Amino acid sequence: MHNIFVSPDQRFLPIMRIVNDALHNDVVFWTLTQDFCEVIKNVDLKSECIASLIDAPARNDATRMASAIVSNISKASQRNDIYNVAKNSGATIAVARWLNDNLDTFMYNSVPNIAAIIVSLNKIKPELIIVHNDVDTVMKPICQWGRTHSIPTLHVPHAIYLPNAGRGPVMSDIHDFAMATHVAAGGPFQANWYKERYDLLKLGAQIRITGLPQYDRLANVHPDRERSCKLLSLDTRKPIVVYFPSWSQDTNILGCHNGLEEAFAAFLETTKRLPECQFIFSAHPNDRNEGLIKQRIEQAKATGMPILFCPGHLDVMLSCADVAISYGNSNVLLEAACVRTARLIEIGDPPIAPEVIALGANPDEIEAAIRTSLRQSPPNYNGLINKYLVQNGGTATRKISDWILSLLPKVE
Amino acid sequence: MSEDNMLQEFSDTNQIHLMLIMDKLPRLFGEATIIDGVNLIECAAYDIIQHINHAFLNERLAGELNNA
Repeated sequence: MHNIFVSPDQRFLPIMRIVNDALHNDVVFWTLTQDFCEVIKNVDLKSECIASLIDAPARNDATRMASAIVSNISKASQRNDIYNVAKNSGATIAVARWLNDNLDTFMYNSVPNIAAIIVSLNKIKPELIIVHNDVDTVMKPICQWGRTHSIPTLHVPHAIYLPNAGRGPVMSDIHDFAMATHVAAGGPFQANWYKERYDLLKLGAQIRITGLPQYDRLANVHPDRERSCKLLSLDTRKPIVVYFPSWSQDTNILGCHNGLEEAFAAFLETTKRLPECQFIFSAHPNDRNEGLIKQRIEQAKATGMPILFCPGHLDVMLSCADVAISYGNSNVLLEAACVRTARLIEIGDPPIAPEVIALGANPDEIEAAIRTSLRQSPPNYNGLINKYLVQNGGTATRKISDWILSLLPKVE
Repeated sequence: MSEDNMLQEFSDTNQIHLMLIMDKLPRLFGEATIIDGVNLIECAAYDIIQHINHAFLNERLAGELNNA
């Protein structure tokens, strides 16, 4: 029986199906959460949650390891070692003090979980690890464990990190610190992005351009404006402008200024100037800040304009959008390019391609760009798609599945 | 401070913080924070960096308020 670890990500279900069928049902997919385990079982694949392996002795092992680590950090803190290293590295007093005084208790929150995952991985001994990111506090240790134990660790990125002023130059953001041993890249841009970072990190990795599975659905899409308008209760005869506000990540500069709010305010101001248009705004799938979303809804109501808030139904929105505007260089621009109905505008970043109009958070500029866009047909997006998504032939799921099968040990 | 200067400052600061978490602190602790080849400090970097950024921002804001 093959054992494969998969991180909780719906994109992996079709991949698991192909791999399972090729292996004649002789595979168990281990995952992190009971919820995702049930999702996998619901499509008739074998799955186990790694938590099922954490019995009392395993929990004791994990707790013992975690306590030792936290105790070691506490001792360094008492000697002010952490403060001194931080200060000598150029950190400010507040940062050095925070690290010295809080790192042990801070680590106490995450270390037991990571230790438990390590104990589980040692029991499972997976032949392959598949993850949707390799930098967060749960995925990184899994990938580092895989690298240490010479287990292929395949990263199928959940997104393409586009040129972004908020993220800063290379190696100034935590996402630059890649760890997986194999990377499935969306296109040449993403392959080069990872190559540059792996080279700087002096880590070996196989990077293969496969396309990304989340774009497969858009490969041969036939947008139906009439149907989409009906679903969203919009008038087919009036122009439709969709705004994607992005979300704030505190891991980089983007979380340290109010560009998102400024751009949203500029968008709302613009809606008042274009009463002939129908406006929709969305919410980023990762934005779980309900307070901020409610605030945006209230701000939209305060304009007195009939602005629709639509937190899901992305493909429906893109099928009827005449103009799609994003804050910063969001992956939604790539999805909109694949659907090909809308002119693309982004606020606050350098343009990802000549086909995208780049602006500041200024109602005059946004209004002018929308008016210009509505007078023109969408450009040919082939250049943009080929750069980021290898022509988006809809074959990423198949290519990644084949790669996975080639990475598994051959059973005699 | 101009927007470009501010972005540059945050960028430089983020780089300092990342080098601290991904290089200097792991070296300080050595084997003391490694389990089975997994470096716990590096692995917690995603969460630590967010708290450090907040500490830095709070310090900056406090400084600006004092100077106002």
